[in-house]
Formats: sequence, C-alpha cells, structure tokens
Amino acid sequence: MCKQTIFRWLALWTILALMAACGPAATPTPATIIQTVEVPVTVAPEVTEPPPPVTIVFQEPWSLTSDRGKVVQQIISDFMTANPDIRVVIKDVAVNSAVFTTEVLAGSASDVVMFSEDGVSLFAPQDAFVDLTPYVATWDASKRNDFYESIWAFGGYEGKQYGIPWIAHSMALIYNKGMFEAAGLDPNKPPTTWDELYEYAMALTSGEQYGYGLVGKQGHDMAWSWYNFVRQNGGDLATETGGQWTVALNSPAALEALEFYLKMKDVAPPETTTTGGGEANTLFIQKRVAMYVMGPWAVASIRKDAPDIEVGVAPLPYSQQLATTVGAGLLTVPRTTQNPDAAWRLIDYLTEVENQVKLVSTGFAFRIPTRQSAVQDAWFQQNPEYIPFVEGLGYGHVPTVLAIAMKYNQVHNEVVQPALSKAFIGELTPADALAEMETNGNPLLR
Amino acid sequence: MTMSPTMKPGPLLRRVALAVYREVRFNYWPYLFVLPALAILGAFLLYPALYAFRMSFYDWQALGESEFVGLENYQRFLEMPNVRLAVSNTLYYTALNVPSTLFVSLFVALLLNAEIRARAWFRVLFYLPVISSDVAVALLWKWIYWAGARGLLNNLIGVFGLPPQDWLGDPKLAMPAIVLLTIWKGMGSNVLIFLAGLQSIPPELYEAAMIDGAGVWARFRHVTWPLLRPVTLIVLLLLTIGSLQVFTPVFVMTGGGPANHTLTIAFYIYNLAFGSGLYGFASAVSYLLFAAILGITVIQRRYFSDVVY
Repeated sequence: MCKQTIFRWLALWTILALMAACGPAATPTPATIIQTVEVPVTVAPEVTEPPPPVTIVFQEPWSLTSDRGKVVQQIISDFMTANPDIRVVIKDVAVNSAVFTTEVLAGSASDVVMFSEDGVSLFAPQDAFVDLTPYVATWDASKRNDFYESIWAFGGYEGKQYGIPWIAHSMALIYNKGMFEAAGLDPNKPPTTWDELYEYAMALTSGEQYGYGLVGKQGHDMAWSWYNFVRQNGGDLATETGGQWTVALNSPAALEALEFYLKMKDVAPPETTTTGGGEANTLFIQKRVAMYVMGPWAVASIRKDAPDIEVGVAPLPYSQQLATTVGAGLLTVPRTTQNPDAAWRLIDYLTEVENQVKLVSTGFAFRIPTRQSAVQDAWFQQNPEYIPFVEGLGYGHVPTVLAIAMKYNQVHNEVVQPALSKAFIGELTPADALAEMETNGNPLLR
Repeated sequence: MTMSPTMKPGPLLRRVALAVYREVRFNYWPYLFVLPALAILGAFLLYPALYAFRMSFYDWQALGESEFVGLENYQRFLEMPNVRLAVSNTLYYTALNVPSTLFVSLFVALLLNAEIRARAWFRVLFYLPVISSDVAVALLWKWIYWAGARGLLNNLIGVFGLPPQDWLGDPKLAMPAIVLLTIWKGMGSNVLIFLAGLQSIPPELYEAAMIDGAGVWARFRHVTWPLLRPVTLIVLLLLTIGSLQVFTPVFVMTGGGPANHTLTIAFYIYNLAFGSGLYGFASAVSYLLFAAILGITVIQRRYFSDVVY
C-alpha cells in the first residue's frame, strides 16, 4: 500500500472519529436499557420488583443555576419523593412559538411545558395539547374555584381546558414614597383617578425629575399600556357581531384614553419616544421618574437594584372602572406525550398553593400565585406591596380578543402599534390614529 | 415531484448523472473532505431555505393542517398595510448607507495604508466593531443617542451650542442615526477589503505617475481609483446586500418606530412570522426580498463588468 493511500485512509478515519466524538453519546440512558434489553426470568415468581419509574420531562424557562431554578428543583425533588413512581427531568429552556413548534414537529416536546398566557390560544386551534378537562373534573370544586377566573380563562379554548395557570401577573402603579413626601404628597394616598394621576405627576415634576414614566417607544409595551386606559374608560379592543369581529378602538372611550395618554407627555422625560417597559423601569430606579406602571417583577427589581427607594404599589388609577392587563404562566401537556397521567400529577402538585407561594416568593419575587387562597399566606402579610397585584387578578379580565388571538396579533403588531406611535409623535391626530386602526385593522380580522 | 417507475431519465439527465458519477468515482477524495461542511450547510441553510420556499405557497400552520394557496401570498404583498413603507424605508436606508459606508471605508483605508506610526494598532481599532456583538453595539449606541441633556451625543453637540435632539424618536433623525451606527459597525471589514486592494497596486505605477508630475489627487484619480474598481465592486455588492437585510439595529433600537419610519423589510418579515404567526406570507416576502437582492446584484455586476480594469 503506497504512502499516499495510507495517508488518505488515516485522514478519513480521523474525520469519522471526530464526527463520532461530536455526535450524541453512544451510552444508552438507563431508561433505554430497561426498554430494550431482555433479561431472562430467573427469580422466583413470588419476588416482584417495583416497576421502574415513569420518566417525564418538565420544561420551564429558568436556568437551573438561578435562584428560581433552584426553587423549581427543590419543588420537583419534593414531588419525586412524594411520587416515587415518577421521575422528572427538568429542561430549563424558555418556550416560544418557534421552539415549541420545532419540538412538537420533531416529536421531542416535553411532557409538561410552561407557556405564557397566549400559548393555549395560539396552539390549541392546531391541536397541540392534551385536553385536561377530564383531569380537572377530578378536582374538588374548592380547588377549581380557588383559581382566579380572569386567569383560568387563558387556558381554555372552545370549552375545553388545555392549560392550568401556575403563576400570574397584573399591572399596578408603582411609586416612590420618598419623592411623594418631598413633593408634599401623602405617600399612603396614591392617585386613584386619571385626574389625580396627572395632578400628582405634575407636582412630582421638577428639574430633571419627572412625574410619570410614560412608554412611548413603538411596540407591544406601548400598546398594552394604552389598552389599560382604554379599558379603564369602558372601551374594548374588538367586538363580535353576528360572528364577525371588528376593531372597536375607534370609539369615544378609546379617544379619551388616547388623549389622556398623550397628555401624560407633559409629565414624562424627553426620551419618552424611545422608552419601552424596560427603560421605564430603569428611569424609576435612576430616580428620574416618580411613578410608572409595571408588574410584580418591578418590585423585586427595585429592591435589588435600588434598595434605598421605598416602593409604594397601588391599583391603576381609572376613570370609569378598575381595569388592568393580566397574564399567566400556563402548564400544558403537549399532544406528543406518552405519559399524560404522570404529567397531570405533576401539574396537580405544582398548582398546590404552598408550591405556588414557594416559587413566587423565594429570592426574586417576580410573579404572584393564581389561587385566591394564596394571599392568606404569611409571605403576603410581610410583603404587602404585592397585594395590589393580587387584587388586580380579581378585577382584571382576559382580553376579549383571546378568541381570535392569531388574527388580533396581526392587528396589534401591524396596525395598532404604528398608529399609536403616529399619534404619539404628532403625525396623526388622536382621532385620525383611531380611524386608521379601524380602517386598516378590520380587513385583517376578516 | 416523484418519478413514476416506468419513467426513464431523459438524455440530459442521464448525461448529468453520468458526469457526476465519473467525477465522484475517479475523484472522490475532495468530496469526502468537504462532506461534513456540505452536510451542515445542507441541513441548516439549504434545507430550511427550500422549505421556506414551499411554505410560501401555503397558509402554513405550524402544527395543524396547512392549506395550499398557490400564489396568493405573493399577490397579497402589495395589499398588506406597511409593505410599501417597509420597502421605501429599506431603499432609503440602502441609499444612505451604501455610498456613505463605501466612501468612509475607502478614506480610512487610504489613511491606514499610509506610512504612519502605530498603523497596526489603528487597523485593529477600526476592525474591533466588526467582531463586537450586533446586539451589544446597538444597545451601546442606543445609550449614545439617549434623548434629553443626559445623552452622550447630545452632550457632545451641546459643546457647540446645539440643542439636544431626540435622535431615535424624531422621524427625520431616526434612520440617519441607524445608518451612522452601521457605518461605524461595518466599516472595518470594508476597510480590510480596500486595504487588500490598495496593497495589490504595484508601487511602480505611483513612481511613474510622480515622475510625470502627478500630485496626491491626480495619483488617486488616475491610479488608485481605477485599479480599485474590482474591489469597489465587491464592497458595493456586499454593502447593498447587507443594507437590504438590515435588522438588528432596528429591532434593538427603535422597534420600527417612530411611527414605522424605521420599519425595514427584514424587520417586517420577522414581525409577520414571529409576531403574527403568518409563516407562509413571511416566507413569500422573504423570497421577494431574495429576488430583489438577486436582481440588484446582477445589475450591479453587469454595470461594473464594463468598467473594471
């Protein structure tokens, strides 16, 4: 064999060896051994070994090395101790539409997946989940009725329940009590109406300090911020008549809400046009704004990054009715699961009040439980700032457009957000911006 | 399309198959060595691209039943809100970005080609933005552009008595502000290409020009610029293709705003697919963008092929 041929074969084998080393490990998992190796029966029939535990995969978004990930691991460990016939593997990968779609198509979706609030409305129409209604029916009425209805609805589609709310959030007014005192305002009497909100914000605006962290950057944050005002004024996003949905934002209620939203620019920093939700949080931590609207994670963020700020939290000021955006983390079971019963037992365990409280209250308290009785826990008495968020789940409501989430998403992204931005920078009058939302939005809902 | 068992390959197909067979049969070693790279490119680039082409003819549902809609997604293109704006914004961005980046890069390359002290350090400094993360750079520039008196750029122009600007919030300033960032970010790689071109010009030509009495400008005009034409074509093509696909700075800094004034085609496609779940339509728009880029590239090549020295 000539040297050149030897070299070629060696080179080929090196490449193949490298490829093999980069590929998946050849060592089978214990579960694979159990399923594939036939073991001759040599033991006496009366000696029976317990069946091997069923392995399920739980996909949640927090890194296992983070504080929250460690709490999840502790809860799962407790679950496996209480349920020795089930082994849970945690997959700490955040789920979004692209990831979930890929995993389901590849047949590698986890057995229990935590989704954000729109997960069921987006994927249940595509038959992506196991129907959990029969499992829910096994619960005592006391457990089922303990969930806030506003949050429970996120998991439903066409009368069936595909997602069980695990954690939730609502929005509230967050304010700096020290700035209130400095401006001569009572920190225990936050504004409750739109007029008061403006008056307070005006009193808190001085020099480089501004009264309100207004969101003005084109995008989702600006839209939901304004939607709150629309609902507080009795308006809605879309309505259904005779099976046909139309955009309902070109209404007197929405017009007043938009005019008030734009009026708040008087008491907001000059960079408002590029301020999203994250930037508003930063402005508050920098003590450049005295008030802004955000979810429960903001309280934890302020405590962590600006512990010298004494945080106040209050329900959102309103004009006609209390209203706030709400959201949830839903536990779902993808249709590809081989173990729906074990998956349900895990969901049942995770949604116990003590486990919900343990998750949201340890370390960076970022969400609130979905069950009403959780507020009785001592943690809430020690952290009363979180109670307005819990109350928000009571008066908050699921968007009417949840039934047409896919179509409304397009209206929300392509029509509402730019029209709102046009009104914000003065390119359109508020009335014209709302008319544009209706004119351009209705064809997309058909 | 599947071939029926009775169907025989035509003469052309047979000739091609035979040629491929002979090539691989007698010269297979190079193919074995590039096989891993080909497999990776095929799996993660070619296959998704072809799959997206198929999706563009469907009302594509990720998990449910997808409906074949023929050319409807392509026909809908001009009817959709914001499409015309996204196209005109992208062309505006390209018109601003391509010539300015090209001439700034050429100017910097000429400076870095000169015999100056610490030349290697300067070259490294100009190349650093290229290897920096796109998202990190966009966030950095967002802070530079911060509105109000606290913004870095506003502080700088304040030294000259100019009033603070809302760089990313003003419809007239937002796109030029993004262009300025991309010039800074992308200049390094273009400078590198121009430097390679400059160093390939024989020094004898400059000596001859100097003997003929040519000054600095005349040498550039009659020696450097004509001989850089092939390199300029490459830079022009790369810049045009990149500009038509601009995404990250828009995504991070403006979200397409204010009032859609920085909405570009690539960002629009992203919103269609991952915001609104319209994967089929987004695929169709992607292929229209691909066709536009291909067309512009062909035109540029034809135009420049006549004038390349």
